[in-house]
Order: sequence, then C-alpha cells, then structure tokens
Amino acid sequence: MKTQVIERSAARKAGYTLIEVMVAAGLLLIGISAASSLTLTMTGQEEINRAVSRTANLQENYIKAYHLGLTPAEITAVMPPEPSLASLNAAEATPTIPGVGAMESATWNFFVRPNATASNWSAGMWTGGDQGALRTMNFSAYRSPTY
Amino acid sequence: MNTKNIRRVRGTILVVTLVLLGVGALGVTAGVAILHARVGQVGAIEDASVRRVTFENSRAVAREHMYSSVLAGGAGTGQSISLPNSWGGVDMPSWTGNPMQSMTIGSYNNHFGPRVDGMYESQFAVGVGDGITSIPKSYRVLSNYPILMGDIFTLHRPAITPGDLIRVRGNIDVYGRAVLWADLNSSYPGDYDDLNAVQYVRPDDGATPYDVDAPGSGANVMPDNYPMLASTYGVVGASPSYDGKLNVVDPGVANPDNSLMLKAQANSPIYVDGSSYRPWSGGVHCNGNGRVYIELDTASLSSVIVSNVFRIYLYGQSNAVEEAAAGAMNPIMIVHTRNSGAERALYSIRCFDANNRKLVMGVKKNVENVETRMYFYDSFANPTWRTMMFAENTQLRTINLWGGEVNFKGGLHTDSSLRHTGWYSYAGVFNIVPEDEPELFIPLLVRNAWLEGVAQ
Repeated sequence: MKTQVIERSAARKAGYTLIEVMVAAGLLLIGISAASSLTLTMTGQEEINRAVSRTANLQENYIKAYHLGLTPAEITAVMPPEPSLASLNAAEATPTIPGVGAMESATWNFFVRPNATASNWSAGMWTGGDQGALRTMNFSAYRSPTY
Repeated sequence: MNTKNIRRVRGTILVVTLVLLGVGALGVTAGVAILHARVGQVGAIEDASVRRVTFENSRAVAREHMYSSVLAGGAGTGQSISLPNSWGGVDMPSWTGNPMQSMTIGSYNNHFGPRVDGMYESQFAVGVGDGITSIPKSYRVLSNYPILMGDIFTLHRPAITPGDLIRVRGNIDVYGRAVLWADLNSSYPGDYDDLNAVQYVRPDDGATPYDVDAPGSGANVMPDNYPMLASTYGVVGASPSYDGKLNVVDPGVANPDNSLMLKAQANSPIYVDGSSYRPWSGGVHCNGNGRVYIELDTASLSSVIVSNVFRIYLYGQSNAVEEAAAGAMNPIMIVHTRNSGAERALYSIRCFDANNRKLVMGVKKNVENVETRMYFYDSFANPTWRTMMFAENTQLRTINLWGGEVNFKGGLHTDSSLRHTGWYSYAGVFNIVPEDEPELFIPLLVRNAWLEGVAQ
C-alpha cells in the first residue's frame, strides 16, 4: 500500500498532467493558426503590392505615350494586357490655360483590381475584405497641341 | 530521479519552449516589418509616378509657353502658370528681346541632329514643378537660318489649305539637304522617284513610302532620321507654330521678327499695285494692267512689294560681265501677296536670262492655292538663278522653254506641290544648289527655332 502511494506521487512529479498537455497543445494550436492566417494575409498583401506596382508602372506608360503624342485609342491598342487593370477610360479636352493658351489634355481613370486574395481598399489602407473591390486611380495629362 | 532533477527537466523544457516562441515571434515581427516596408515602397512608387506625370505636364506647359509667347514677342513679364488640380506648373522668367533676333552663337555642337553648328541661342531659367517642388531647368531657344544651313529644299506641311495633297513631279535634283515635313499624296507613291537629293531628312514615319535617289547616280539615299526636334518658322494663325508649317512671307503682327514682308518694308521698298501705272523708275515698271517688270541688276533696287498682278517679269543678266557686276550688288527682296479674291491672281513669273543678283523672293496666296508658273527664258538653255524662294499656298511649276536644266542657286521652301517641265511636257531637270556666300543673305532671311531643355 505504501509502495503504490510512493509510485503515484513519483509519476505525478516526473511529467505533465494530461490537462497541462492539453492546455499547451491548445495554445500551440492557436499560435499556429494565427501564424498561418498571418502568412496568408502577408502573401496576399505581397500579391497586392506586386499588382499595384505593375499597374502603377503601366499607368505611367499610358501617360508617357500620351505625352509623346499618341491618342488614347492608339495607346490602349498597343499596351500589353494587365490582369489587375480591370478597365480604363480617358476623356480628352482642349482646355485653355491662362498664360499659355490652348493645350490638349486627357483625364485618365484606371480601375484596378489588385486583390486576388481576400483584401479590400478602404480609407487609404488595405484591410481584409472581399475580393472584388476596385480601386480607381486618376491622372490628368497635358501636352502641347502638336509635337 | 529525485524530485530536484525532475523540476530541472521541466524547467528546461519550459525555457526551451519560451526561447523557441521568442525566436518565432521575432521572425513573425521581421516578416511584418518587411511587408510594411514593401507597402511603403509601393506607396512611394505611386507617389513618384504622380510626380513624374506632373513634371511632364509642367514641361509641356513650359514648351507651349515658350513657343506661343516667347518666340512670338519681343518682351514679357515673368509669371507662374499652374494647371488645374495641381497637375503641373511652371515659373517663367521675364524676357526682353526676341530669341529670333539673338546673335549669340551657342558654344557647343549639336550632336543629335543634322544641323551641326552655327546656332543662335537665348537661355531662359525656368522652374518646372513636379507637384512637390520647382525644379530649375535651363531652356535654350535655338535658331538658325535653315536655308543657309543646308536645308536648300524644304517641303512644309500645308498651312492655309491644310488638306492640300502635295506632289513633286519632274526631275528635281537637290544638291544639299531636302527636308520633308509633309507627306506626299499617297495616291502617287511614285512621285518620290522624281525627287533626288544628296541628303534628306524626314521627321516622321508617314504612311507614304519614300524612294529618294542621289542626283545623277540613281543610288537610293537612306533618310537621316535624326530624332528631330520640333522647329518652327513662327506662328501659323491659331494653330501650333512648330509643326513644320511655313508662314514667313507675310505673317503680320503674329510673327514680326520672322516676316519677309516686314523686312522688305524696312528695306526701302518700291510698292507696286498692278492696277496703277508706273513708268520705268528704279528698275521697276508696271503697265497698270497686272504686269510688273523688274530689272534685277539695278543697283539702287532694295526691295519690291507687289500685289494685284497676274504676271511678274524678272530680267536678269545676259553675259558674264553683267553677272559679275550684279553679283557684287546688295541683296534684294521681292514679296508678293494676294490677300483677297478681288485682287489679280499671280499665275506666272517670267525669268529672262540668268541672274547673279542675290535675290530673296516670297510668294503667298491667301485666297486659293492655284499654280504659279515660273518660266525660264534663256539663250543659254540652262540658266542659273541665284534665288532663295519661299512659296506659300501656291503650287509651283518651273518651266524651261528649251527643255533643259534650271539651276536654282540658293534654295526653295514651299508648302505645296512642285513640278518641273518643258514647254509642253515633262523634260529637263530643276537643280537646287547651295549658295556660295550664304552669309550675305542673312539680313533678309528668316529663321526657324526650336527648344532644348537641360538641367541647371
């Protein structure tokens, strides 16, 4: 009888109880889950970063081509496709600039959908959200009437 | 294992676990920090893109202002020009003195164009905005006399009749540079076979194929497609002034420093109205019925301004002695304009003998683009005419009655069709050759100008 008591006490002192192990496992699971979720978010954010970089470069090329004298239709025809660029439009005008005279201008609206993963653009920052959010980038380009 | 050792083991496990958790937390934190930096970089890319677009907009404003205001006037005050919604702006300096009158020769060579030196320059310090700051740039307005710099044949784009389709027919041999601002009528691609040049420049890749041959040899000449800077002879009505159009014969107040008419008016002119009789005086006679006669070797003659005529007779020199004497005389100008349909339409210029008098001639038809014929009568069959001619809104047909050559020594700038023929059919050659003493023409000629912008 005395021997059994001693063995049970030794076992208790030699390791962790089931409850301790369960609690530790639970905490570990929560940590792993958080890390996995964070990894997914970070990967998604990086995809967004790359898409935004590409489309920013593409948008600037559109504007450069306009500055060089091409029409919006010509530019649209020659630019490569970009999956993140959902659509665009350009409104041409010939505003009179005080001190200069008539110039040509085009207001470009680029509708960008960079979020292949679950993200959303709102109030100046990316947050978690649906995948269909569109971001609009606006540029006004001016050029001399004829180069 | 005693109790003390067991506690050490459990404590060790806890410490190792905590260390691992700490390392993991550091890794996650580093990853988040990197991602944050990447987001910041992407944001900077977008901001930089907007700044570059704004800067290019500002450059366009600076260029337009320089061309439309600085080149068109003798003085102006400094001003800040802004585009709507902060999409660009420039700080322009004040200036005095039209760059077209600058006699300052640039101290550098232009390695990027066919015109290698001899450019006049005026410098302007311009602040070009990029949305954040104003970047100092130095704009050089460069100008020269293209017809003296080797552009002895220039085909400008039609200005008054923009839709005019241009043809060049007959044998036109250019012993210098032919500059083709205008595309020829695409319905007649073979026309270029009639145009031969030592060197030719075309500023764009127009749809019409070019086939320019060297004079005589028939060897194909490739175009010198330099990255052509926009150049201008000045303001052309309300349209841009630097798109290859010609407006120098009588541009009026829009371009006073680049006007043949104003230069002639300032050069002791003789005014001739075709309806007013004028006896022979000072080498000029008018019969009062649309015909004017001019003796080019009249020493006192400086300039003649002709209107309301349908025929101009030009008398040159018939022998070497007369030619030598005429060659030593001062240059003269003859300017003809037709400003309304009520005036007679000039349809022929009759050139007798040869001419060694330095002659600058401008012909402009404001009303309609009808052909002006230049007849060459010369007992030597192949006359040489020392002439620099500017023809605006009038087709030109040069005719050698003997079917021989005409040597046009100086240059021809036109914005309409040109053809050379014999009396009845295509025959002979119209040679355009450079002037031997181009500097003697400088006071009477016009410049074109263009801009170059460099960082200060």
